[in-house]
Amino acid sequence: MAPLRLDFPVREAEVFPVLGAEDAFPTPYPDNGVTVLVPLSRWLEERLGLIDAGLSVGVWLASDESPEDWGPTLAEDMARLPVIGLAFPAFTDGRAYSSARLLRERHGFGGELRALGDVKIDQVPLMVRCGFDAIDPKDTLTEEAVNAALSRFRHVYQHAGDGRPAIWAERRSIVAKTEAERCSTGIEKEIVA
Amino acid sequence: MYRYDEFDAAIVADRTREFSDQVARRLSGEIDEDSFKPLRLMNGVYLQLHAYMLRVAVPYGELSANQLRRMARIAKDYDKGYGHFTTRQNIQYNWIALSDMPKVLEELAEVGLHAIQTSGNCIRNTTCDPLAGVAADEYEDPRPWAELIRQWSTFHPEFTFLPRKFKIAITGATKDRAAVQFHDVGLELAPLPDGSGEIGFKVYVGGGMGRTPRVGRLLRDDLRKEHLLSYLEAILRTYNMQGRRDNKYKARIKILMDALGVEAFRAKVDAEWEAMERTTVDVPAEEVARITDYFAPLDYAPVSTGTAQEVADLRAQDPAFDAWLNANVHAHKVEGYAGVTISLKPVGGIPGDATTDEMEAVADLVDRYSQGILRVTHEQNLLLPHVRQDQLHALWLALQAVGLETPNVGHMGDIIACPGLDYCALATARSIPIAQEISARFKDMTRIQDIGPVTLNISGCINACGHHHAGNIGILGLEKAGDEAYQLVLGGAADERAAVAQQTGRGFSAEGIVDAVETVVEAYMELREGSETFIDTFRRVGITPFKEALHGPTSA
Repeated sequence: MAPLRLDFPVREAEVFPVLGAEDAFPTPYPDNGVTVLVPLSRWLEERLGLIDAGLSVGVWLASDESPEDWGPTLAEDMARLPVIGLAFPAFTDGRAYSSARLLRERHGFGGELRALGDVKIDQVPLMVRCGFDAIDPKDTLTEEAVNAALSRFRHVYQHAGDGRPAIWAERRSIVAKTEAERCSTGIEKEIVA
Repeated sequence: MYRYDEFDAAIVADRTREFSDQVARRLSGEIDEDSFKPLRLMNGVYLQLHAYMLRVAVPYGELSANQLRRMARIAKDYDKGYGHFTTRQNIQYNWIALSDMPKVLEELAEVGLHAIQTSGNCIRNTTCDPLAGVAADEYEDPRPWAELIRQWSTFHPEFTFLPRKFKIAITGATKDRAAVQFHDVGLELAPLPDGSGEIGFKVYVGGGMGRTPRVGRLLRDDLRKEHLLSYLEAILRTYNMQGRRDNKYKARIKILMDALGVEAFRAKVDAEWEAMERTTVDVPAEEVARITDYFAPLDYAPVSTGTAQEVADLRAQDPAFDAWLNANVHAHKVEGYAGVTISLKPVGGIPGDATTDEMEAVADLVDRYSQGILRVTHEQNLLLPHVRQDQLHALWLALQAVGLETPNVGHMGDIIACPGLDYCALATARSIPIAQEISARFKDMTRIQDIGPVTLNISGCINACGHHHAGNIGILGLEKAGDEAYQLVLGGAADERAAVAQQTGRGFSAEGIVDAVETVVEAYMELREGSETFIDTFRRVGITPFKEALHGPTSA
């Protein structure tokens, strides 16, 4: 268990225990300041109690769950929750990439989006592009390897959830910049003449 | 054709470096085969029976002569001197060592080729009409859209781990030469139904082969061109989230459509599309225009008005030239020009294979006769799209000189076959020897002209990579009690009148299947009326007369 924040550069992240539906909260809790992740179903059931008790709780979704399963408290929870975890039971299960994008881009979630489980180094750049900003991989990944993976691809072909411009937008801004330079050079020449 | 600029080249280079790393980690044992497998698949590296196989992408089937030359060189330097052109317009090499893969990919990248996403549970090569841009019956050239789809789908971070592979095909003509209705998504450029005359997309979803063949269902016929990418994104997101992941054989989008029904599926896709922030998905009109410019029609120097007569005279004098014109040469939108298919199905040969020498010879002919451009067809042949009619005879003679003049395109002998048990770890039967036998049985070119247009597909297992479900005549190789057993199906069609072929009854041995094919052909010759092709006759009379010819009269 060596969670990482996918910042520039990558750094160690807080451990957030991931609870099952029946698991007891760790003790002493909440005095140890730890944030705990509970499954969506448990959050929806115990939500008011957890909020009233002032506990630091995040929610995690299984790979067969999506924002569509959240129900009417979704909008409010997006503003309230410090962290949402999305599970990758096997790295080949790619459903959470879509859930991540929906949470970030459709529902405006601004807290930490953490990938849990079978996270391999090659998926980390994809996760960042879909809006994840932290990982808790079951097999340890080094900060060095993750930094290298994240800086590997200099361009991307399409827009996604990370704000990087698609190639066509990059080209367009280069053309615009060149045009601007040409215009300003032209004006200078006029003035000098 | 589209040319890579420094952005495209950087992306391919970065990917090649990433894969080199992954190969190194595999070879050092840092990652095991299970972890390596999905990574190598996304770089087109399969493990077959004898060796690793590399599948190189030919985006929408279009190639330059120089790219073909590089493919020839790879075959010579790293393989056993040949490559295989596939049913998705790609090329495969069967014998490349894993440790050579990174070097091969570098050499391919030098000419703008790669093996990105030619395998794996991601969006594969988008295939296209091989006569795109030149077909006489074309509404609009599908290639710019195929290129836009390529860019949108390459390393799409959300759709890299789909439930299963995803295949898109696109056509822009009245005749469908891209089999769009047998794809996960099939796109057809056609006039919008609003009567404006404007061209838009018909969108078919859920076609496919394999164990559960399906003809794609029309999702909508009114998609505006500028919304293509966002609509595809909506379809893919719906599939990614809801496609089955519990059973590999029930994981394609066609199964999801079966489960939901077309209406419910469309409702989900439309709802997703409505909710989507589309301005960053759909590219601006100026980008569409920029890409379209790459596919601008070439300068077609006019051909003299006497050419048609000259060709007519030559063909009257030479039945062999006439046969080649009938089968291998296609109408072109520009007067005086033609499209020419080079058959990679010589009598008794391995369908779709080409040697280094053949590829180099074709590259020279492409430069000389087709302005440096060729296409790969999904029937595993090569097509020259820009041939002057006054050079047809010279081209034909040149093809004869290198043994590539076989006049069987679209006829008996133009067999589409998967690699089968000779190569493939999934196969249950050999397909190539069956293709060779049938080809030899029908070696008489006069006879095959007489039989007329017919498609024949052979698959070596129920995964149906030979597309036997879409063949007018289809053969499926199964394993029965240790002996290869061959099922015969009839009446499939891969064109705009798409249909899944029907069973004819009990199967045949390897010897018997060749006789069975001949029986079926003879039955057609007896039954046909006027100028009916095989599939015309089948559609008129149904399967019963053919079953009876094969197995005797059926009881009342």
